[in-house]
Amino acid sequence: MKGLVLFPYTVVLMNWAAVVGLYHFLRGQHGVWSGCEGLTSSPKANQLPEPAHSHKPKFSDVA
Amino acid sequence: MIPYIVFYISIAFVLYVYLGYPVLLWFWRRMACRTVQKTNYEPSVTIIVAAYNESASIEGRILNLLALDYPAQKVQIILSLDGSTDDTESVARKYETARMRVLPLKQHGGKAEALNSAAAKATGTILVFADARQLLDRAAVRELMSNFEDVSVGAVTGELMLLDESGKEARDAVSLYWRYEKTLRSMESDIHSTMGATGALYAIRRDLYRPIPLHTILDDVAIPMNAVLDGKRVVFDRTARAYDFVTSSPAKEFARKVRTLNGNFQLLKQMPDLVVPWRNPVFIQFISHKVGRLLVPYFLIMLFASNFFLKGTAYRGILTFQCAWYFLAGTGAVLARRQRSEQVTR
Repeated sequence: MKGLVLFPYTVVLMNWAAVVGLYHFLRGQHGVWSGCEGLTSSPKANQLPEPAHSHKPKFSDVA
Repeated sequence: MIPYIVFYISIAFVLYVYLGYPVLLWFWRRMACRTVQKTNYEPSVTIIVAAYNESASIEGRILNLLALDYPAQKVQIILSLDGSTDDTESVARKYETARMRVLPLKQHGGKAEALNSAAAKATGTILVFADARQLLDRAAVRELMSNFEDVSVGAVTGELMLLDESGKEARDAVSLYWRYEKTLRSMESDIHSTMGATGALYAIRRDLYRPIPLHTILDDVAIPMNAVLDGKRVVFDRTARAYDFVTSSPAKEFARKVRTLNGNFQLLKQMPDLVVPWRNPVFIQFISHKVGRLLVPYFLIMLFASNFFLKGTAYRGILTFQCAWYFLAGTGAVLARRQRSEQVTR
């Protein structure tokens, strides 16, 4: 049920973002470091899933 | 008569961008798939991380890079600090060696300047770009490099996996949208090139790197698209992974999307060759994917408005569908806002 309403909301929001993006472009706002804060949290290495392909570590041995 | 024309043009445009284009890619790929033969290629690489006030995450970033599965003698790491005012530099300096350089820029000049400065100091055959926040799979660089023995490949982008709190791939509405995007990228890559890269992880041959203009917002699109304009391919390798945990709501994704779409407008201004059919080998894909997305909202508005003037069961059905869609979207907005306020009160 939640997905049923959040999906249309996300699609509409993404389209609205194009309009706001044009507005920012026309205003000459180019804050490249801004806009991503809080989108994600920095993961910790021990939280990651198993690697897609396991290889013998090399770089880590020297470092 | 005019409402009919507006209605049909609008509906055709929206359907093409969201459905017709993926179907076109699907058939195109079936007829002309150019899969890259991956090999155990191990060129020298320079990993460039541009950072600005990342003291909280820089140590994890460095340790993650030092743990990569790639021959140490072939790896150079450059941390380009864009005039950070916190202690990012002092944390990074603790790990500085001959192979891991810290490059502090005195002034906060923007990410593009940080990347250009680092690329000028790079010695690796291949430049790998990674963000300061996301972590890489240990095999990520190896997987990227395995594509470069194919001389037609100029750049390779990895996959950014959005994980939920349990460490599995997230399956919320934002992630659903991401997966749709990644499916398009994958098909575009098999045909010729994907339209840009993910900033979390991508690589380009050093001799194809062209300094990007200051204040470029989408370095991860501008840098690879320069390679495409030079006649090379930009491929998408889903086995080269970077990870991020989703704590986002659609509203936060909105902020990111505004920045991206603002960047797309800037890109069109900075790189006009992208919309010249005889200059851009992926002109159809670029127009359909990137430019189409910029125009869709205006066609959606025209579609909705023109639908009110049309009579007939089919038109009423489409109008009902549109009203239901926007009603659900509005309900979603209320739900998302409620969720946010609940998170704040916790």
